[in-house]
Amino acid sequence: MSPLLLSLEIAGLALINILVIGLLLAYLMKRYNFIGKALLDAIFMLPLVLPPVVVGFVLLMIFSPANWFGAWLDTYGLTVVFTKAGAVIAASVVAFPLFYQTARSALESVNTDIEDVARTLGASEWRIFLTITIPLAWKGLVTGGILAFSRALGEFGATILLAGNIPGVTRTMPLAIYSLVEYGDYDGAWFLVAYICILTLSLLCFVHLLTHKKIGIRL
Amino acid sequence: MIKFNIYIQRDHFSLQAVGQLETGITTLVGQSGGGKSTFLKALAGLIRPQQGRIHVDAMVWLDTEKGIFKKPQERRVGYMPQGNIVFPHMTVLDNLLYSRKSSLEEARKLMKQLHIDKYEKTKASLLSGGEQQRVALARALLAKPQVLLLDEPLSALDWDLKEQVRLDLMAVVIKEEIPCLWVTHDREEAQVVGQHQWRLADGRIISSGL
Repeated sequence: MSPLLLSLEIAGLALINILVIGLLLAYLMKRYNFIGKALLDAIFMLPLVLPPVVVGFVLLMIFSPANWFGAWLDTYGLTVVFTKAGAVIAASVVAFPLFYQTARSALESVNTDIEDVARTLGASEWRIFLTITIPLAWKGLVTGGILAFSRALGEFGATILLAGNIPGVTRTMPLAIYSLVEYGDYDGAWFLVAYICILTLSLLCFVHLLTHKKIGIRL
Repeated sequence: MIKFNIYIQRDHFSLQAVGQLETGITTLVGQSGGGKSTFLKALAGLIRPQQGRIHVDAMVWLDTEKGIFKKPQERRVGYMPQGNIVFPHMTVLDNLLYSRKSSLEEARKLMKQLHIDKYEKTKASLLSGGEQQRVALARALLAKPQVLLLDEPLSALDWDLKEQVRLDLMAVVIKEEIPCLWVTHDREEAQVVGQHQWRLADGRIISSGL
């Protein structure tokens, strides 16, 4: 598979992970107060400030078959290190804070009085989430999703440590650029650099239009 | 009739409320930040008082001694918080039919009474403040509440709109023949609207009669 398609596939799968887990965690953090909430919030944001290589190292230690969790996964035939799954996990973890932070702000900007009214009208928490919270927060959620996808597309440091640089399996665009430069193929590297720049720039322009109300999506 | 004897402790104040809410409109006046909205939320089940009992006829909504706390979904309360609280992304009709107890026929009847029938398919966020208040009231009534709780229903309106909205709200609420607690900081409004009048002072609710 070409580095471009592989990158899109891995970033797409990472985005699915991020949307499901990030939305759930952002909602729970909005809804409940508990001791240690600030610490947990900081932990969720940690991959944003840590060097990706550090994130990759920690993931490698967790998923390595030499350690207990990796060994436990291995007994079920699940291997993460030097596989596509590893690349997806690395991209998910590194890009997660961008979605989580934006989603949390978006969910918290929804007027709780409106949700309270829905409660008094007999709506379940799940129905309120689907019919009130999500539609009112969709702009922030889409923005967060695009930012996380863009970040996942450009992921390098954590991926190379956890998933390696295997052509057709884990060699995404950033890793392919690294390899081409290493081999001295600057034309090939320029081609991929231009590709990834245009792609991420388009996504960021879309976010800009979205946040500046130039795009209206009827719900 | 709704009877209550509750104690609420918050960061900035405590509130002891004892009384009973009769059919018709009861107004509650008091200074801003005194706990009026908190009291309403406690009756609606949106916050949990530290101590006390609330019961409506034979049904117990809250009994802290017995560990009973009915969620807002189980209480049949019509609640209108302060400000513009329509569901802004939905049409007026979708707002009115949000409760599973609402019916299209009743929604259309109520829209006519409240002069919002021409906005049936309009997005609720596009309505004026007064029209949004009417939508919020109609939506609350269509859920067939046993008690109606209105938090400063006129406060977001311009003075020239207040009178018309007040008359419309009062007419519809009185017709429903259920207890209604109308919170306001405006003493004049409280006197005009309330068949019964309460005052919140020093963390206590005092019935001041007519």
